[in-house]
Amino acid sequence: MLMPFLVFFVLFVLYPVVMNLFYSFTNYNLASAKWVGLRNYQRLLKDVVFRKAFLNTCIYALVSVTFLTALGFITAAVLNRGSRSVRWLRMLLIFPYATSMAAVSMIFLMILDPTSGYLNKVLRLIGIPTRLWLFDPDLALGCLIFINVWKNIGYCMLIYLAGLQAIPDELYEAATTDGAGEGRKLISITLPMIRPIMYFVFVTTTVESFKTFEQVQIMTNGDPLNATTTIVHQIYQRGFTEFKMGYAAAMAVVLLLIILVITLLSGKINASGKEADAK
Amino acid sequence: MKKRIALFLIFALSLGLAGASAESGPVELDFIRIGSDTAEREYWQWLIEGFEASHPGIIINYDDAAIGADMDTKLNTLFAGGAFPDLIGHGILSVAQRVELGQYAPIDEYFENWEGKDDLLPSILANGTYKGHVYGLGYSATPYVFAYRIDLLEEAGLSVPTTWDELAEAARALTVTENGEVTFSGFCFPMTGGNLVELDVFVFGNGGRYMDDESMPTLEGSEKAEALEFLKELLPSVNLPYSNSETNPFVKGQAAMTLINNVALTSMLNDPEYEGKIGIAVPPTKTGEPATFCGCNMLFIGGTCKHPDEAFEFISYALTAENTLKRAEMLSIPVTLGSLRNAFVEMDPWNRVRLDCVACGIGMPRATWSTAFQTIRNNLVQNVLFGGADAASALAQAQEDLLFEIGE
Repeated sequence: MLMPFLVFFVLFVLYPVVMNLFYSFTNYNLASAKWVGLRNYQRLLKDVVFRKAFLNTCIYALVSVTFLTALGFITAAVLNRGSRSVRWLRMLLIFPYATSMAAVSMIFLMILDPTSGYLNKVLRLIGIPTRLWLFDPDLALGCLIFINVWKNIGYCMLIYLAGLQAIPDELYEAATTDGAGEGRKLISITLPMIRPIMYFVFVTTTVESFKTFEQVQIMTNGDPLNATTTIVHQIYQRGFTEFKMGYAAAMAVVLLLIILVITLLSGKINASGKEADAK
Repeated sequence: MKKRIALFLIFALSLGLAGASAESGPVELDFIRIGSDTAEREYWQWLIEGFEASHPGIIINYDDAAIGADMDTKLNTLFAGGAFPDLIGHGILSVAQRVELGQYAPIDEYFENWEGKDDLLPSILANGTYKGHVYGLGYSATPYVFAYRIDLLEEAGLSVPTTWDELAEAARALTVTENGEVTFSGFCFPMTGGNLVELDVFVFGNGGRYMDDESMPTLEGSEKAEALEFLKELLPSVNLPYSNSETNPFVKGQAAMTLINNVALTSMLNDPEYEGKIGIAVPPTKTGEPATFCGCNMLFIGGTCKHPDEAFEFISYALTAENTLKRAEMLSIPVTLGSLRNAFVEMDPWNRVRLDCVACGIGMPRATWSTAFQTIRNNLVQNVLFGGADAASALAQAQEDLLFEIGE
């Protein structure tokens, strides 16, 4: 029964990961590979652009995940009703998530263009100074984060909504009978009950944020001044345009380790939370 | 036992026949070209139709990819997957790296016996030559021209700038601002993009070069610093921000002057709204010596090609005088054959300017570090022109970064 899964897993997951690890110790350039030991990893420490990409990725992930986790929950809590207008609103929020990131990026390129973009046109109309948006090193990463949050908030809301609707009404009724207010119900019932959902949202949005690429590639290509380059964008640049596959593989290993550590840590926090609840 | 032997023989015979019939079938060549613009795609499809009609045994499977990382990603993926194309249309930037990786096959023997070899412009031939061997033959020279609005310059009583000072004066005079914001650019220059060769035009126009005789990078030097300082002072008051991977504001009617790839002007030149209003010239320089950036796209035979004879047959067909002239007619691409210069000039008076730009054009460094150079040069432009860094120290940092990459 497990055989088809195992075959798939070994061929398409385990084997590529092991090969990637192997190539990270070589200078593989698509044509040949020579063992270079830890040289690629030593180089990573000296690579200014990789350091910038690492920092950008962390900021992107931290801000995106914070907003997605919080706003997703708030939106779900507000829209956790059965009226027709609310159902329409939920559907509207899901639309951006159902759209491909490539299409979203193209639309926002038109909106954020400093010369002929709609945003600056509106700002000019109401007399507010315009900005360079994606061409401004101080604003470009923020723009990408905003787009990511806007696109994925519907997904987080949907997951939270499923969690909220699974909480038995009897718990709230009993709390009301005991004289608990809305704040107490939130802290004592809602949050503990949806902790596994929060953990799921946190892990999936973190992994997705660390893997961000399409948006960067289409909208900024890492510019201006490497203000928007990310780890995956660097992996692509180094591997596919500069032929440094071994070096790119080392970056991929670092990314894998980061995601692994975050997932394990959050799993541990989630488990300790469960234990605390049980006590 | 006899039955088994008979069956085995029949099986082996049928396999042999199948193999033989496969051998005698048409030869299929996979061809991938850099650039995804419709006009050039239509040209190549027209050319391939003609080739297949005159060469019934050969089929060309055509594909293309956008300029920049798209083309390289596609080629690298095909190479890694063991399906590298038989014919590749690619630029100067690719030569050294792909030759070193064995992805391009040397074509010296074919070239020696090719009847058009003496007609190919020497500068075009040099672009496809690496370490004394011929690998690619140029089909398209893509010079950067200085494009300007004739009507606006005339209205302002200005002549076409030929020096940096004249350029700065005209750019300031033609810029329109509202509430301190540039709404119409006097001279537009990209802030970001795939390959910021616009800086190279200014560096070459000041006598600077990026590579020494030993194929080592030379990013430092007063010529580069002066070019950067000139642009740093001029651009804030005359420029509109854009990426050179997108449409140039000049083509959208939002700028009076720019540096632009000759082919990218085609849509504007064909637009009746701009008839008689667009002019092109060799870019203004500081030294007075004409210079510009000129790319060159060439046809290569893949290192794994099993049918090099047929592949070269296609290359020589694409480079016949008739087909070269047709390409020039359809796409305004300067001819790469010396014998066609007069015919090309007769087609359109502006073609003389295009040829002048090819003649004084300098391409990307033909070195294994050219891709890294491209990234570092782009960062340099952004650092100095839009990040406010000091030109001399930014150049020193860029040189150091590039040497670090080469050390890899």
